[in-house]
Formats: sequence, C-alpha cells, structure tokens
Amino acid sequence: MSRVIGIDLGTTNSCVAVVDNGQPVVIPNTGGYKTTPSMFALADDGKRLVGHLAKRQAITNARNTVYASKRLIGRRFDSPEVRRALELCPYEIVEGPNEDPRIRLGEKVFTCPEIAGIILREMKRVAQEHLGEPVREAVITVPAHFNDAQRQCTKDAGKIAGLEVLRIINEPTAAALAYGFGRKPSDETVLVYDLGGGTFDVSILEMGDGVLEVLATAGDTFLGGEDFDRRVVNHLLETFEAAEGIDLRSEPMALQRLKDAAEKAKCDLSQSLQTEVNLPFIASDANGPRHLSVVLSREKLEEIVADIVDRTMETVKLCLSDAGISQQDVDQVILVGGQTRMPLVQERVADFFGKRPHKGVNPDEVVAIGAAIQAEALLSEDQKLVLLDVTPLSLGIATYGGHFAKLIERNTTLPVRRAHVFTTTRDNQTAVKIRVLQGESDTAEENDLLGEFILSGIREARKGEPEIEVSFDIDTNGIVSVSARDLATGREQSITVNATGTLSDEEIQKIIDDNELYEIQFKE
Amino acid sequence: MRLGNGSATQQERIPHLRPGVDPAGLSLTPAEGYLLSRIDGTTPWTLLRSIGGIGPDEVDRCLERWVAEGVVTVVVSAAAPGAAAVLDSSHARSGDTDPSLDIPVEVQLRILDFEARLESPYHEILGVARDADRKILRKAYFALSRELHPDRFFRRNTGSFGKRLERIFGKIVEAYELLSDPTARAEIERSLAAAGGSTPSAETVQPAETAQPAEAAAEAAQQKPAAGPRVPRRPHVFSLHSRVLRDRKARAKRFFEAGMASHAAGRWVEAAGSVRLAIAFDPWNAIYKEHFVAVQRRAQDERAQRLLKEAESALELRDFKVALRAFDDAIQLRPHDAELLHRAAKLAWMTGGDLRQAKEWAMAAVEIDPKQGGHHRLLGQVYQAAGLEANARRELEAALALDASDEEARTALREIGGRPLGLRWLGGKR
Repeated sequence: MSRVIGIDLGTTNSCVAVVDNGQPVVIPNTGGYKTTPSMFALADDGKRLVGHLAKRQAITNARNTVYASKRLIGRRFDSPEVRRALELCPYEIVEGPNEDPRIRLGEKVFTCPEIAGIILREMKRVAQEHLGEPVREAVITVPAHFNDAQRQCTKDAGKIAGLEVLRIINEPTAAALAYGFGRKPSDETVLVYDLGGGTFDVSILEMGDGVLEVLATAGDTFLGGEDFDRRVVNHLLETFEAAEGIDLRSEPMALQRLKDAAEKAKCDLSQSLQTEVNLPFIASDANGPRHLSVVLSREKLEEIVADIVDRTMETVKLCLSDAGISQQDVDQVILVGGQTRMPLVQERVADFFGKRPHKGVNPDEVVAIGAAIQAEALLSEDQKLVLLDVTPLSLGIATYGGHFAKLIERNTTLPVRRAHVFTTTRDNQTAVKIRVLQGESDTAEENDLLGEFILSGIREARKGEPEIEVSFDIDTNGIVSVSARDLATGREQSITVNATGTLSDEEIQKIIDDNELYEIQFKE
Repeated sequence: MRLGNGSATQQERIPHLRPGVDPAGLSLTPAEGYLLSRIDGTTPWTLLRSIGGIGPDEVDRCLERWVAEGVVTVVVSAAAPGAAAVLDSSHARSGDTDPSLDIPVEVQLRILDFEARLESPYHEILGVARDADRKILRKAYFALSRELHPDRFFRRNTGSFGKRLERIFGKIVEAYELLSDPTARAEIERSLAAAGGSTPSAETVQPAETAQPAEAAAEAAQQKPAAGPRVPRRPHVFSLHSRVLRDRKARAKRFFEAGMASHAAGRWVEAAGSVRLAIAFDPWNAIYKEHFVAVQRRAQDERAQRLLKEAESALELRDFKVALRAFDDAIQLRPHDAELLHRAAKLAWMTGGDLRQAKEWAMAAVEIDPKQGGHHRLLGQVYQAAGLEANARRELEAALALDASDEEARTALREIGGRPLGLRWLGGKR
C-alpha cells in the first residue's frame, strides 16, 4: 500500500509530513525548505510556477502571481472577504458562473480549487521525490471555522491534485494531535491558539487514553498574519507619502515590494528591537527616482497592531465560554502559526492564562505533522487514537420571516443527526423550499447559504397543520446531508449539500486533464 | 442475547402494513399504536426497535404478533429492491450478522447488542452507575469512543453496520453530554425517579446484562467522591435538547386539546387521530394514553357505524364489491360482532366473492356464537360452494340439530346427497 501524507495547505505557506517508522517527519522540498509558499504564477512565456519559484518572480510579475487564494476559496463573489481581496490583490479576480470568485492570469481563468489543487500537487510532488514512491492519499487541514463550502472546495482541490482526501481536519486539532503524539497518556485540557497567515482559530481539547475530544472551537475569518503585514504596508505608504508626496497605492509592483518588505520587517522585529526598510527606486516622478527608507521599531509595530491582538483574545474568551471552562482549567496552551512568533502575541497569551505557552512544537510544521498522524491513525489496524471532532458552525434552515432555525449547534460532536418538525405558513400550501444555512446569526440572510431544495406533494391543509420533518446529518468527514419528510404522506426529499463554488466531477476531470498537459510541458 | 443463527446476509427486514388493513380498526395500546404508525414500508425492523417510547423487546413482540395475525408482512430488501421476498415470522431474528464484512463477528454482535439497548437510561448506555461522577463518565465515554467510533472501521466494508455505528455513537455522545450537564442530569434523574427507578445511591450494582467497558466498570467499582462542581460544559447542548423537548410537548398539548374538542363534539375518529398525534409527540404522558384508550374505542364504533351505512347503501346500489370492502373494514373494527361476520360471509358467498374469506368470516361467527344454527348453516353453504362436502354436511347437520325447522339447511343438505338429520329422526323407529 502506498504512503499517505498530511498536508497543511496554508494561506501563505504549505507544509507536508508523513509518518515514517512510527515517527512523524516533515518533508523538505528540493530547495531544502520545510515549507513552500502557497503561490502560483503564470510566467510571460506561459510557464507555470509554483512555490519558491513563483514567489521569487512575484515582484516583476505581480499581476500574474497568485498568493493567499485560500482567502477566496469556497466563498461567494459578493462576500465581504472577496470584496476586500478585490481592493488589495494585484492579480485580477473575476466572477465565475457559480457566483464564485475566479482568478484571471493572462488568457486563462482559474477557479480557486484549481489554484489550491496546483499547490497541493506541488506538495504531493515534494513528498513523492522524498519518499521515492507514488503518493495517492492525503489528510488535508483547513481552518477550524471553514464552512461546508470551503471544505468541499478543498476536497475538490485534492482531487485536482490527484489525491484521494481521506479526511479534512481542522488545523488547531491537527496541532493538538501533534502535541499529544508520543506523550504518556494523561488527562489534559489543551488550548490551541492558531494565528496563521490568513486565519485565526482557537480550539479547546481534552485528551487522554488515546482519545482527543474537541470541546469547542472558534475562529475569526478576517484575521491573520497578513493583516499585520497590511498594517505595516499602510504605515510605510503613509510615511512615504508624507515625505515624498507620492501615493504608491496604484502601483502593483511597488505594492508587492512593500508587502515583501513589510513581512520581512515584521519577522525581523520578533528578534530585534529595530529594523530598517530600504526600497530603492520604488517610484519616480519629474524629479527623478525616489527611494523608500524607513526605520521601524518593535514598539511602533506593536502600537499599530495592538488592536488586532486584542481581537484574538476576544475569540479566546468566546471559545472558553463555549467549552464551559475558565482559563484556569486550561493545562497547556499551544501556539501555532508563524504570527505567534511575535513577542507581543506570546506576552498577551501568557498574561491571560497566567502561564507560559508550551514550547517544543514548531508553529510552522505542527499542523502538517498532526495531519500525518491522523492519516496514519485512520488507516492503521490497531487504532490507538480516536479523534472526536466538532462542527465549527451552526447548521439550520431559513424559516418564515427570514429567521434562521438552528438544527445543529456549533461545537456539536461528529457524526451527528438532528431532526425537527416544521409546518407550512399558508393555507393549502403544497410545497416548501428548504434553504440550508450555516452560521451563527439569527437572521437567515446573514448566514452562508449551503444549498436549497424543494419538498413538494404536501397534502393540502390549513396552514400550520402539515408536519414536515427536516433532518440534518453531518458525517465524520464533516459533509452535510439534509432530508425533509412530510410525516403525513411519507414523501421525502434529500440532498447532499453541494455548495456554491464547488465543481462538478466533469469540471474537475477537465482541470485534471488540462494539468496533465502542463505536466508534460514541464518535463520538456 | 437476541441474535439469531448468524446466517450471512446484508438484507434488511422491513415490516409493511398488509394492504387493506385499517390500523384504526385494531385494538392497540397507545404504545402499540405509536409503533404501528411508524411502519411506513421503508423503516427496517432494526430501526423500529429504537424508535423510543416503546422498548425494543416490546417492539419485537408486537411485530411478531402482527406478522402472525397477518396485519404486517415482512419484506426482505435485497440489494435489488425488485427481489423482495416475504418472510414468515419464524425468521424474525435471523441474519443480522455477516461474516463477509470487515468487522469481526464478535464485534458485530457487540454492536447489535449495543444497538438493542439504545433506549436504556443514559447511565446504562455509558455503562456507569447512576451517580457516577464526571471523571467516571468521561472515562466510560472515551473507552466507548475508542471501541465504537465510526472511524474505528474507517474504509472497511461495514455493510449496514456503518449506519448503526453512527447512530450508536450519536447516542453515546448524547448520553455523555446530558449526564455531564448538571441541569440536564437533574431532569433525567427526576424522570427516572418518576418512572419508578430507585434513588441513585441505592443502585450500586449494574444490571448483569449491561455490557460495559472493563475500565469503566473497574472505575465504577471503586468510586471516589464526586469531583467539585465544575462550570457546566457546553450549556447550549442541553438548551437545544430541552428546547426541542419543550417544543414537542407544546405540540402534543395542542393536538390533545384539539382531540378533546372533537371528543366534546362527538367526533370520535377525529378525536382519536388528534390524541394519537399528541402521544407521538409526548409518548410519556399518561393522561394522553388514558384518554386515547377511551376515545379509540368510541372512534372504532363510530367508524364501524359509518362503514355499515356505507355497506347498506352499496347493497342498495348492488355494488357488492364496495359493500364487501366496507364489511371487511367494519369487521376489522368489530372483530367479535357475529352478526356482522355472518352478513359479510353471506354476501361474499352469494355474490361469488372470495370463498376463502367467506369461510373465515362464517367460521368466526360460529366460533363467537356456536348456539346459533344460522351461522352453522351459512358455514355449511360456503363449504358446499367450495366443494368441501364432508365439512358442509357436518355444519348443515349441526344447523339442523340446533334448529330443526331450518328448511334452507335441509334443502342444502339434500342437495349434497346427505340424509337430513331431521328426516332420519322423523322416519326412525327408536
């Protein structure tokens, strides 16, 4: 049987791991790096570049280089996240036929699962070269707060990469798995604080006796390390404009340089108290070329991002309250994601919990390692480890008056099945439309629409008389299916929710075929 | 152990209502009525065992009885639905395990056994004492998770056991979450006490048949004092459960009130329907059940009257088929009405209807009222029509013995060549 890998498909960087002789190890890419930038570019000569190669040419080819596409995957084109990306990204985002955001590079328009698939294929290639054998199966991680659509799109991406996705698991859960690996069985309550490039998640888990139970999970879609970068970029832009009177916001190449420099400055300031940003020839006007040179202190950085760190602590509090515990009950805090290297983040977490966070896991690699451990656990004969995960978002249906009736509350252990009886709102109504939603708002419209279907053939009756039982199933893969049944006639309608932005099997096959073509071109 | 002979099959046994059977005509307890209402021709026997409100063993007993009575037929759904076959009740429990699956047969047995106990009190599901503290609950929950979580059998051929495991695990989670929540637990404790259970401290030993994880049992045996109060875990979990429960009760109450209104207006069928729905939503309400029994009897009378009227008017129109069907339905409601049985049998016999059915009815009439010569005569006539002369002669003679002036019987007897008893008496010297 071929090996199965764990992939952390990150917003900024991706990482792949495998369990080798019972020990999980991270697989370095050909350049020797343990993480690979989640970037994809179409070069002028039509060549496709992935990872470090894509990142290296990003400055000169900003319009045709995709980064942070994870922020777009599984979302609707009119969602606030996509709108924000439209303003900020140097690459072109267009609306696809399923109201999904797509990315235009040169002549070709790519779907988000396709971009993610290209990155996953690269991770698969890294693993295959290292292992010297083909790899066909993987466990892939996603942020805990990803909804059904985002998870299904990630699964599609796996298919496009020629991987069978055994399971999609949550990033903080994977981190906890890695933390718990090889520890002697003892009961512990663990909190994972996962501040990655584009996402922020908190999960609280109980572990012991070979079982890992997720008590609660909470996340912030709008928060991640890139927000820190953006604050730094803005600071640099403002400083430059004040000094030189030139606004660089409409210069894609300048923006890309600024973005890189801001990220580097931010990282430097985790080590040192002061750093200098030097970007010669960033612009030019009638008076000749202009150079950007700004000195940035750690103090200044902490001042401009303090409110973002505060916001993460609000999510921590929400998660504790969902789990029904207080910060004293937490035995161990695990920091995950590159942004947790920032001293300010570590201090705030330590202050809040009254203890230093756990050292000893590498925040960039721990998620991929956890994914590999889960893959191994699923397939091993003597399962020594069972993961009890939860659904991160409440699920329900839209009801009369635009309300949202939750059938499965967030943080319910999977698999789960819940049913509820609903009725009609008009006399002699013979059909009802079931709109399946995911989210936390009581107002239907403010939640994500996962899908809809119609139950017809209800016997004619006065309003309020028919009894329609709607039941929700979420399996251990987190895949939602919904059925509605008229209790009087026994008539039933059901769907496996197929969310916006997911691709049909034909579409996926077409993309795979396309990519095979490029695969051949690479080797020429 | 409720398992059969272990014959290999992946088939599901699905009870169907026999066509033509009017459930309202049966005399059932509310729990049985509830069970009958769940027989929809798609829900398999095994699932019916765990519908709640009625214990799995009781479900087995009822279904077997109904199969024997011909109310219910069991259809085995094979891989192709077209290949359905009717089973008789003697196979009721065979074929639940399947050695061809990737689950050891002993584990399959454990799963089936566990599934059969899903309606037990929550602490029994977890296999802990009723007053187990949170630490013991958690230990039992983790042990059961390791044993029965669907992931344990990831990617294996699990046949029907995959769905079973999902249901079982869902119930384990429910038990653990509700027992871990002090508010929910207090409510559970109250309902157990109301159901006549002992107080938890009195119950220190587990029922022997309750299989439980070894560690949990050992832990339970040496219980430590309960850990200090802890902030309720996932309060919303219980709030959801109780909300659903409240909602169901409110609905039940509305149905019941509607039922009482119909009751007052003398619309018994309507009343029985409403109260039955009330029970479906709140199966533990004793008042509803009590009313149901009374209302149902009246409802059956009302329906039977209505059916008889229907039969009469059909007879006037000489629509014998409709009349027969109405009689048939009325008999379901009043199976002990000898006169009704007689009329139905006579009609079936005289109009060339189903003789087998006519015989059943006539026989039932004889059984109920054996002193009535007319019933014997009719049965004899039916036998005669069916060509069973020996039987016909016996019944006709019995009819004449009870009523020597029954010329119709005498004629019939003469037709089949038997010497009418009366004649022999008259002619005999003695």
